Amino acid sequence: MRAFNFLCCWLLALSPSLVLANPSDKEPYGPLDLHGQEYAPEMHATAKQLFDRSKDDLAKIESQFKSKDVDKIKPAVVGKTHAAINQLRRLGARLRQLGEPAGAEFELRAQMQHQMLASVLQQMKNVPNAQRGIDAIRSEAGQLAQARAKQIPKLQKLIDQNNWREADKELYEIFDEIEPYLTFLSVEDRASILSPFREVAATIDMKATQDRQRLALESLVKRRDELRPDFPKLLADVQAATASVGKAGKHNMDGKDLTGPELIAHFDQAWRQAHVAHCKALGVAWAYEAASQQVPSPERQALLDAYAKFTTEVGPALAALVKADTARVNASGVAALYTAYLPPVADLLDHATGAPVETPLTAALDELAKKSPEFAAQVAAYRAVTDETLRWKARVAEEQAKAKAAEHEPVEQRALRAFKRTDSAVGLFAMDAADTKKAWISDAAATTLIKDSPQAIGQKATANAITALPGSSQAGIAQYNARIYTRVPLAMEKMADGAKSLEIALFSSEKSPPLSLAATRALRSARRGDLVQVGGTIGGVYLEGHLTRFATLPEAAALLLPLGTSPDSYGQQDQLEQVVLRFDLQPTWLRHQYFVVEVP
Amino acid sequence: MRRLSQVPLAGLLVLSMALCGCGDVADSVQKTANQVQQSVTKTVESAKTQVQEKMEMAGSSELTVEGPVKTAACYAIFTPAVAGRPSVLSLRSYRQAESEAFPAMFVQANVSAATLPELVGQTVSATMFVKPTAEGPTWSTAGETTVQVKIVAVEGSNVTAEVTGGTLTRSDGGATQNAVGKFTAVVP
Repeated sequence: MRAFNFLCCWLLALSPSLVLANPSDKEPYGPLDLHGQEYAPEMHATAKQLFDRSKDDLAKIESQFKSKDVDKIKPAVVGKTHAAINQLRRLGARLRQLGEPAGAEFELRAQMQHQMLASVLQQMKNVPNAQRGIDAIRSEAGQLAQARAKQIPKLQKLIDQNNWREADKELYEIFDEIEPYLTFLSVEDRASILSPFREVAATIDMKATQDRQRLALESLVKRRDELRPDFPKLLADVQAATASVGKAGKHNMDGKDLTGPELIAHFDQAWRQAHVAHCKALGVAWAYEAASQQVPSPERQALLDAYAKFTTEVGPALAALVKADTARVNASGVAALYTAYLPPVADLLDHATGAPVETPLTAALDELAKKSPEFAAQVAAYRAVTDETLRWKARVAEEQAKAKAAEHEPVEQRALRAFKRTDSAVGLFAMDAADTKKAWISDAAATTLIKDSPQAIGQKATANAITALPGSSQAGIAQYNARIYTRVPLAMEKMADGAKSLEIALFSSEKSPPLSLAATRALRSARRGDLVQVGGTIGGVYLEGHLTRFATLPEAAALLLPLGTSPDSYGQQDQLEQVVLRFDLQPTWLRHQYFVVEVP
Repeated sequence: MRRLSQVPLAGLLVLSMALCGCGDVADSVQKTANQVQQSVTKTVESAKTQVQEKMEMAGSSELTVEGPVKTAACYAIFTPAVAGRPSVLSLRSYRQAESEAFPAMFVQANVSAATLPELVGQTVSATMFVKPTAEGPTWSTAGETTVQVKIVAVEGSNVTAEVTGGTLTRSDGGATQNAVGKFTAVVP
C-alpha cells in the first residue's frame, strides 16, 4: 500500500437544481424530496453528490475486490470513500434535525455504503505488508492533526463569541480532512490522534447542535403557523355573504359583486385553498414533532379539531346561503336562479365527499325549486325522464367494470404483496400487515425499490376515485388511501365521447341545461375526466416521505383527499421513516359513474 | 321484493275463505296459510302493488335474453314535451326504483307526439335495459345505439308494444343478441 496524498478535490461546488426528486423504480437513487427551503437545500445537494461519488468509487472497489485484486485497491480511494460516507451520515443526521425524511433516508444510505466498504476494509488490513502501510498512515495522520491543532485557538475564539455556525464549519473542515487517514486505524488510534481537539469538539458539537435545533424548530413553528388556515373566518365570510344575499341577491367579495351561485363557486375554491393549507400545516406539524421529538404535539390535534369543526358547520352554512336567496327571489326568478345554482353545487358536492354537505344543499335546492310550483313540476318531469336512465347506466357501468377488473388487483393489494417485509427482503410493510396503512423504510430506498418494484411493475391493477388534474396535464390522481395514491393519464378524447352520449341521454344543450343535480354532476364530472375507477398496468413506482407529501401539497392536487378529510397520521417516533407510495398506472379502461370506455 | 311466482296459492285461498266466512278449514291448510301471512312484508305501497301484480293488473313484459324472461309488471309513463325536450315514453317493470324486483326492465324513447294515443302505429327508437337476476349481468343498448319499438295499441290505460329490431349487449364480456320483446303495459 502506498501512503497517500490528500487533495481537497472532493470539497464540492454544488448546484441544488441538479438533484433528482424522489426515488422510483427507474431512478432508485433519487433522493427523497425536501419540504423546507431555508436550511435544507444545500445540505441535500451535498449529500446527494457525496452519495453518488461514493457509489461510483464503491463500484470500482467492489470489482477489484471480486477479481481478487485486493492489493490493487488504492487506500486513498478507500479513505476518501470512507470519509465521504461519514460526511453523508452527518448530513443525514442534520437533515433529520430539520424534520426532513430525506435525512433519515440519507442516514440509511450511509449505513448501506458503510457495510459495503466494511468487508473490503477488513480484507485490506489483512493483506501482507499491510501493517507497514498502516503505520505510515498513522504517522501522517498524526502530523496532519498536529498541524491543524494550531487552529484550536481560533476555534476557541469562535466558541467565546458563541459563533456556533462558523465553529462547526471550521471544526468539521479539519475533521473531514483527517478522516480519510483514520479509515485504517483503530478506535484507540483515532482517539489519540484527535485528542487535541477533544475539548473544543465536545463544546462545539453540543452548542452547535442546540443552535441548529433551535433554528430548526423556530423555522418549523413559523411555517406551520403561517400555513394554518383560518376556518372561523371562512365560515364568517359565508355567514356575511348569506346576509347580503338575503337582502340583495349578491355580496361583494374582494371588490367584486357575486351572486349566490357565484358565491358557492367562490367558497368551493376558498375551501380547496384552505384544505391544501391545512394539509401542508399538518405536514409541517409532523416535521416539527419529528424534529422536536414530541409526538404527538398539541398543535397537531388543534389543527385536526379546527378542520373537523369547520367540516360539520360548512354544509348547513352554505345551505343557509341558498335559503336566503330563496327567501328573496320571486317565483318568476326561480328557474334562472335554480339552473345557475346547479353547476357550482354539483362541483362542490363532487369535491367535498368527505363532508356532510350533500343533504343540506340538496334540500335547499329542492326548496328553491318549490317556490315556483310550475318550475318544480318541470324539474319533476325532467327527473322522471332522466333519473332512471342514470340509474341503469350506472348499473351497467358497474357490471362492465367488475367484469374487466376480474384479472386486476386493487393497487393497494398489489402494493402490499410486492413491498411486504420477508425474511430476505426489507420491504415497506410489516410481515403480518393486513393493509398498507403503515409504510416505512428501514433500508436505503433504492434497496427496497430495486428488489420489490419488479413485483409491481407490469402487473394489472385498479385504482379508485380519480380526480382529473386541472390544466393541460390530461392526467388524474386516484384519491390517497392508506399511504397509496396513483397517477393515471386520461384519454380525454374517449371521455369526450362518453360525455357527448350523456348529453344526449340527459337532453342537455347550451340552451337547455340539465334540471337535476344528478344530471349536472354526471355531465360535469364526465367533461372533467373524474372517474370512479380505472384499470390498467402499473408502469412506475415512487417513494415519497409521508410528511413531505402533505407538507408540499400543490394546489393542483388539492383533491388528493376529498374536502373534509384530513390526511392520516399516527403518532410514532418514526415519522421521518414513514413513506407514501405513488404508482403510475397506464389504463386500459376508464369507468366513469355512468359509462366505461376502453383505452386502446 | 316478492315476485309473482312467490305469492303462494294458499294466500289466495285464505283471502277467498275469509271473504266467504267459511268455518270448517283443515288444520294443515290453516297452518300453511298462517305461515304465508306471517312472511308477507307489509309496506303500504308495495302491498297495493303486490295485489295489483298478483291480480295481473299491472301488465307484463315478455323478453328473450339467453332464454325467456318475464317481468312481473310493466308500466308505461308518458312525459309530454317542454321547451328543449321532446316527449318521452318509458316502459318499466316497476313503479318506483325502490320497488324494483328481478327480472327488471327499462325502455325509454324520445317520441314526437303530444299524447300517448298519437303514438299508435309508430315505431320509435329506444334505449333498453334488461336485468334478469339481481346477481347477473344487464343487457342493454350499447353507446348511442337503439332498439326499434312499435307501439301497437293504446286502449284506455293499457299500452301494447313490441320490439321490432335492434341489438342488446351483455354488460360482462360484451356478447350481443337480437332484442326481442313484447310489452303489455299499464299507465299507473
